[in-house]
Amino acid sequence: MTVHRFEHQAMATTFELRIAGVDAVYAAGAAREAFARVDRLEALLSRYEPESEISQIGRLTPGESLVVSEDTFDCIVLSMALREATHGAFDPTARAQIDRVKIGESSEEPPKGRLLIDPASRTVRVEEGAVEFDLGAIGKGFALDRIAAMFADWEISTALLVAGGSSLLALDAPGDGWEVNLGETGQTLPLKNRALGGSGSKMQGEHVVDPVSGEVARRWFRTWALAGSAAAADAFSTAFMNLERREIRAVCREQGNVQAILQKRERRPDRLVWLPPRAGDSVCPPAESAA
Amino acid sequence: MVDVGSTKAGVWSRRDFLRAAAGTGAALVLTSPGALRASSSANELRIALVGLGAQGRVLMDAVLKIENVRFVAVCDIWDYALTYGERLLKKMDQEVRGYSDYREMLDKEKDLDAVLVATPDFWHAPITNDCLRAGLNVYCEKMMSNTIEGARSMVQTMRETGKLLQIGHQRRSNPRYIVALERLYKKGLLGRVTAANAQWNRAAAADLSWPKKATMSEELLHKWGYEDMNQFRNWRWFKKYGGGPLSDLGAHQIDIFNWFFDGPPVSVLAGGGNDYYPNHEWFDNAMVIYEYQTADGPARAFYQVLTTTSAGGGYFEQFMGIDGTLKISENPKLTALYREAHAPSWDEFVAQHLLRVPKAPPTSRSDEETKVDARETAALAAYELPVVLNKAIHQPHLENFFNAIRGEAKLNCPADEAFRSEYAVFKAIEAVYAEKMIRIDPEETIA
Repeated sequence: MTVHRFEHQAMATTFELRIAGVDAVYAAGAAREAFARVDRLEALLSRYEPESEISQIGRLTPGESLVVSEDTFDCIVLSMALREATHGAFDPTARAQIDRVKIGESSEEPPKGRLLIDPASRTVRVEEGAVEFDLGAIGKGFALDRIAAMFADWEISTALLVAGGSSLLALDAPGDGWEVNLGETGQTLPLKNRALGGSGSKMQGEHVVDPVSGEVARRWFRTWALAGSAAAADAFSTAFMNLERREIRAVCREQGNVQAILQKRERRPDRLVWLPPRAGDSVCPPAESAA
Repeated sequence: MVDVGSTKAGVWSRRDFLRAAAGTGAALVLTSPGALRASSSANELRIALVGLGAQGRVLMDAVLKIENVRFVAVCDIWDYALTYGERLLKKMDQEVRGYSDYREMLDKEKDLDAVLVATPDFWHAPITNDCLRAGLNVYCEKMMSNTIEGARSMVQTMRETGKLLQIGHQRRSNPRYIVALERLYKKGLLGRVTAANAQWNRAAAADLSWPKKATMSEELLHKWGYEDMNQFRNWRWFKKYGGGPLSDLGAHQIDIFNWFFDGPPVSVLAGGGNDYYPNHEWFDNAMVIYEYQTADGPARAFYQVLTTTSAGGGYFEQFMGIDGTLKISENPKLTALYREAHAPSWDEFVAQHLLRVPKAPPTSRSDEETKVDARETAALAAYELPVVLNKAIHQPHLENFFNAIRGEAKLNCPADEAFRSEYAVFKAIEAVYAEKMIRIDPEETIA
């Protein structure tokens, strides 16, 4: 089976699409459309773009409202649900606090803000304080989910969508699945109709901060999450960096469709922890790695 | 979700306690549906959108942010695009009727105030003229037409009918551009301006495609003037439908030359070619030199459009004067002002918050002639223009149009004004093929 590969730079990383089952010209057309979709999402969701909708929300003062696009609205509502699902270990509104921890300042004054969200008119209104979103942790995954929805329209069913190496979304796959290396552990994972998100401290230093404790995540060297959507996988992998093993196990139990792969700080490949121990669906972890 | 009963409380008690105590993050509260919807009023405008391609969707998203404007109809010959628009608007409780033929829409919709036109260029003039004659105000995307005659006919119909015709050169309503022009440029910040430079460079890209299941029939495509589905999707590259990159991208920026220099150019010299794409009719790269006669003297404007590389820093316009340079763009990150070393102080503009010195403030010169500071190399003084839009990019221009319909504003880019700019674009395209300088009589630019 011929696999067509396409790359595009956006969201401060590289997006890669692998498409099979269609001809090269059709795949190229779909990839162009997909990358344009990613660029539009970045223009809406990036906090580094001064006129993005996320930046605009950050400038709202109490009493001010903004009607946002369907994409921004959906991403905000999804991030709310994921914050609750992770018991606050992923929190897209704790940005100011996280920034302070990253630059070494104290976090005595956590950001306060209250945002009302009207699902019928896609209107958000700041009631108190200021609300600064940082959707960076799920933005790439959210973009992959949107591409997958677009590919359904294009009748592209066999594809692997990757953003920056840390967000992966597999549609159908050749054979047992797209073969995914788990970092440098030497272990691989077949991925099919499933999303994988990865977080860690290797690529960008100690960059994950627990929004609840304000502390830099030091429990795990790397964490991966398997979930039904790429945005969810991104959020859970970020959250897992901040959670203890029993908390991660509880998240997986509560969600039912989420699995965790944890690499301890000793970085020994044989010390990968799989939660729950018997991964279901299309995931077949090596037996010796099950904790 | 799986019910984890008492286990859940045990596992999460410490974290939940910390969350409650620390109160980190913002409270996000879903309201009952419609709780924050702005109430409609008696002066609500009822509008239709013709053309639901990429640009039409941008306009639709921007309009949805504006109070007291309601879509009642949408029109597109492509069912795939029409369905997208209907779905999105119905989700926002805007019950629209969908049409594939704009003439049927005009026959049936008798309660419209205005129509937005965002079709391929060659349909702009026929649709706009029919809408104006039907007594409707029109916001039409630029270019006005793919021909000078088509554009001129729109100005004439606007005059005959007395209806409003706004052309989508949306920078004319952007507060950053307005502040730059009215409060900096016209106040002499740059000194005598002798040159301008603008560019729009884009990386090479595959042709636009479409989902197989959304392929239109040949009969339908021919009915609306398209050779085939590929040309329908990539109309911007074919002479029958559009004007190529100088028209698609250049028109916005050449309009800025004319706006700031307060009139059309007096000559144009241009070169360009079809250097890369084998299946396109229009040239993919071009360079244009205009000469202007401004109130302060001659000025030259250089325009570059490249569709084969993103090198060179994206898209912006620059006005270069004796005392400084304004670099401006729809992207605020590409906007900056640079002061020449000999220029008079810009401190009064900083004091008025029209300029901001962000990171590397220009060192103040000592008044004592025999003393000097020695320190690390001083950075070039780059000033920020602290005007950031809290709206969609096209929103202010659409608001200006709607306010004009209500009699509360004057159009920022009426068709006759737009024609003068677009005439300069048509002449640049002509110059590419003529391979010689073309003189432009200002009288020619008046429709």
